[in-house]
Amino acid sequence: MGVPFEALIPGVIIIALGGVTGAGMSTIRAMQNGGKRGRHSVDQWDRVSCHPSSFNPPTFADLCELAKYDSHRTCPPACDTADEKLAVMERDRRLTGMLRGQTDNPKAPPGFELNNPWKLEDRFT
Amino acid sequence: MAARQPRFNQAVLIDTTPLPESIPKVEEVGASSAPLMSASYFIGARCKAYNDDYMMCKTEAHGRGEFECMKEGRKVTRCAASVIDDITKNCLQEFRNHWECLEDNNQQLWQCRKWEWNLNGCVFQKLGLEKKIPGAPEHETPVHLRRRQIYSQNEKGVIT
Repeated sequence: MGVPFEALIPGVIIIALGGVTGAGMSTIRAMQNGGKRGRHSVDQWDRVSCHPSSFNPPTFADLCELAKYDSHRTCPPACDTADEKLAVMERDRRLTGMLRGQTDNPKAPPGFELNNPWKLEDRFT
Repeated sequence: MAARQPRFNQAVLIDTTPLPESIPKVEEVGASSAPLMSASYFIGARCKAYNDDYMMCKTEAHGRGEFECMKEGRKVTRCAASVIDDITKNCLQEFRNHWECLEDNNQQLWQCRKWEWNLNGCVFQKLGLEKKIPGAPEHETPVHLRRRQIYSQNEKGVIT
């Protein structure tokens, strides 16, 4: 005796909706990454916009100045893990307008050295 | 830097006041992360002395030295910009192929050896800069010159 087709309808619906979700998620991911493959395992170098205070001086200097290629003015503030930005990727965003944007200009556009944000906090009393 | 972790620091301030006239101007490097990654060993090859100078200044300032090391910092910036400038003038197509590949592969150098070899060859011919990995064992083939790849998602086995 054959299986009535009505018995298979729930399965078909489940598989079809799974496909819809997957297609939607991959579309959103592609849009977020500008059509490129996503970044993964993004490490401290890419992530740090602040420095853990336990770093020793060379690493500290390294992170402070060389990772933020544009800053001769200040070191980033100490880390707040809740509000981590992706420093190098954030710099890409400041250069190109997109977090995943890339450009190979040797010189930065005018004003770039001045649009580096400082983090603020309320004063402790 | 204070040891205290900042809290509630969602707000940012973008201070557009330019540096005072007494401080010499330097144009910042305009390349973003993937081109810098692609050019990094050539920047190292040409600018090693300036970079070491700067890091020594920072080390001797004991974690300070933002102001004292500005002169060395400007040299680092200018030198890096000059390398990017020379590469874009002489090897633009190879450079773009490589950094676009890097950008599409999580900026992992081993995914793009084919483009890297083209770029390395062009840069060595035109600019005389050679990629050398610092601290690599001398009796082995450096990792970027090995012909056999296991982990790359683009090229597996022997690359010709």
